[in-house]
Amino acid sequence: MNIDPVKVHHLKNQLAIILGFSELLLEELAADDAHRPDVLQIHQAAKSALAELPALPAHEFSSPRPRSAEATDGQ
Amino acid sequence: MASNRTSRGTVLVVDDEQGVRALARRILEGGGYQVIEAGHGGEAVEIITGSAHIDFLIADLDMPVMRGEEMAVKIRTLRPDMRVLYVTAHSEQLFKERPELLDGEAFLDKPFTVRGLLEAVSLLKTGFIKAPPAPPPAGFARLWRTLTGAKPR
Repeated sequence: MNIDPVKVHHLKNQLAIILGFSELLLEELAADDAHRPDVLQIHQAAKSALAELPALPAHEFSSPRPRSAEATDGQ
Repeated sequence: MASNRTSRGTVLVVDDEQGVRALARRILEGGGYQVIEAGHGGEAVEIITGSAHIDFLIADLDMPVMRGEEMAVKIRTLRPDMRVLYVTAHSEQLFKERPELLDGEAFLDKPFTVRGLLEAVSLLKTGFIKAPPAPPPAGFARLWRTLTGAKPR
């Protein structure tokens, strides 16, 4: 696929918004809520569209340089 | 903005896309943070130089007029202790220009998940992910080991 990088950036932003808000809705809706399947469809469609875009970024958080933070595994 | 309750800190979210700012606000306020928004780098610098107390900066890298990184450099000259989370759909661009980030800087790929954003801010703030102490998602494994010296369970 050959798409203008600016358009790819814009599309990723819009898909990020759809994915994020639909994820929030899925967290807030009860398991038996009648709207849940509809929201799930929206979320999955956005994921699918994102996968079609070039250079799909990984959903990960990392640091390029090791940190020496005095860390524990929670509290 | 969340108010009159215990806050985990105030986050300045800078993104030229209103919907992304609104999403970050919803997520962060749900996580107990107070949120201030700026639509571009100039506005963010004005907020920092004003009276508002900001603990963390979440900066989109790809913004018109002033790039996120340029904005962060300006802000860190004013507030050297400012912790910055770069949010970008093009992380390779960030590392091409700067192979190493400074202390107090991290990045999060966009699109981000609800959990991903909260954990990124928590890591930036404390160096560890607040409870529940569950195994980190796959993408966090490398950073988890770096921070804790332990293998994910």
